[in-house]
Amino acid sequence: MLLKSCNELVSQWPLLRTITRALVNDYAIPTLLALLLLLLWFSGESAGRREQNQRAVLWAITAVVVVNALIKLLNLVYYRPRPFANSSLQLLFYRPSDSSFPSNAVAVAFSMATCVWLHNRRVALIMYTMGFLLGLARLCSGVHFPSDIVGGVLVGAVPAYVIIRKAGVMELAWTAVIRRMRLLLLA
Amino acid sequence: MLYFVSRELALGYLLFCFLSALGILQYLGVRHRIVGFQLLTDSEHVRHSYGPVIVLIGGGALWFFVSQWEAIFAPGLAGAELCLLFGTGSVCALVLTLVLASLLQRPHRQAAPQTGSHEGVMVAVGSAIGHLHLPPNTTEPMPAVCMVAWPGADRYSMSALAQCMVQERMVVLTLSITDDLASYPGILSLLPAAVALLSRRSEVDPSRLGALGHDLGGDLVIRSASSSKEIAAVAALAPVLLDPPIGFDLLREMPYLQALRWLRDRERARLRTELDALEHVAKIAPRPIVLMYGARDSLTTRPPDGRIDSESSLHTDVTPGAGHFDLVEHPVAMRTVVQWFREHL
Repeated sequence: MLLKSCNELVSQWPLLRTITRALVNDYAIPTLLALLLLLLWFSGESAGRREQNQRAVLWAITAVVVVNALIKLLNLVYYRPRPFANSSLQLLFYRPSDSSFPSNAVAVAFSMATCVWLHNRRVALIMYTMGFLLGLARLCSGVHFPSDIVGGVLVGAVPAYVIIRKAGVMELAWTAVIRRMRLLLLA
Repeated sequence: MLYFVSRELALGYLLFCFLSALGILQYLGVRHRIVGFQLLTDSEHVRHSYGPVIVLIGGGALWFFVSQWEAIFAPGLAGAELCLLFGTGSVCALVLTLVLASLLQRPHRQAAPQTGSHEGVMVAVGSAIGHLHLPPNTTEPMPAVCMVAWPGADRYSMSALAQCMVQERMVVLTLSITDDLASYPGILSLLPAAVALLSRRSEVDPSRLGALGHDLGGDLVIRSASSSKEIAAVAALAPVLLDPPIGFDLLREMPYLQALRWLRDRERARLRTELDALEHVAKIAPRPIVLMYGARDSLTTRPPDGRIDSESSLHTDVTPGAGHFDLVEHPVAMRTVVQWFREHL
């Protein structure tokens, strides 16, 4: 119901349709998120603040790898057809062939944002907003069910949070990485 | 296995990432005043420097999405390929930024003489060469200040400050620590030789001699003044009393290649350790000493309160907006130094 209404609304308005298409593709928001991580790495007025940001970036990269692996495993045991397969939706995107659940792109965005949230709230809020817009655009484009988006949020945010809280040993690795980068004047 | 689908799309995305990353680095260079990132920045007009940032990020995005609009709505690059292209583009942008900024920006040791500055009279100070600046129409003995620049700085680096002091009717002798002099303990003979030279001059009142040093020159004047009682007042500008910070902050003061050389300069590190100025600050008391730092100085670590065991003769001053190198040319710092010597000599 929600999916159909969103899709119809976007399809009726050309401007809304263009905006949705600009947001839904695989290049715009993922690249913006990656650029924010690049910005974050070198940001911070003090060395301590910058190190916090750099730890956030390293956690975000780790979380993306873990979350992608998790989704691959999930897709092996559960396959859900895309919404456009069984209903008359106007598709604003190409026809992906993998499982609809969970939304991979949303999971990646929320895993990054959650890692950053624990170190830099302001940048994390921007990333959450981008993740939300990406999810909304995917829903309106007929690529995902609402539950796929919710699933993506959970599959992205929860493991990212758990990794940071429970894999404290990684902090030692990040300290070593940052120390090495400092010798190259890049941290 | 990586599969890039279309060469045009992959190259287009790579270029988009490269331009965007270049824009982000320029933004950081302007926003956080990181000298090592600044390619197009006019430090006099910082607001104008955001123009290239907007052009790089906005222009790159506009070009990519307009030229590839149809391609991005067809099955294309997957996550691994996108990550690889983004990483490659960003690394290329970073390398280009660091190298180009190093080539475009003038190293600090090649400072140009100030317009209209007076170079002073060349004098031999032991085995070193100094430049003596005398106020015009001297009739009675005046206070004198011996100024030591940082090792590697050229003789113009303190000429603006010297001119300010001359205008306030002080005799100034500027000294540069050349590479052949920058070794311990030979370097300790520099200031006593300068003091002896100044004391012999008829224009100088030998009881009103001061010493000023910048960077390791500051460490040297502290160390020399601790054992040379002829020096009545000491000003150390950005002395390197503690182990200097390493890492990205160096790029706030100098471009990448110069910063790498600075970081790996073992002679400099050894000289700082051997001078051990921090331990000698307290020995200057009861004579007055001022430690001055720039608020944006990223090359020195300021000693924490209580680290220096000194009496009330020690003053510390932080100049807002000044960095490590430009502290000696900063108008506020110059005024403070001149005023301080006027009060204490």
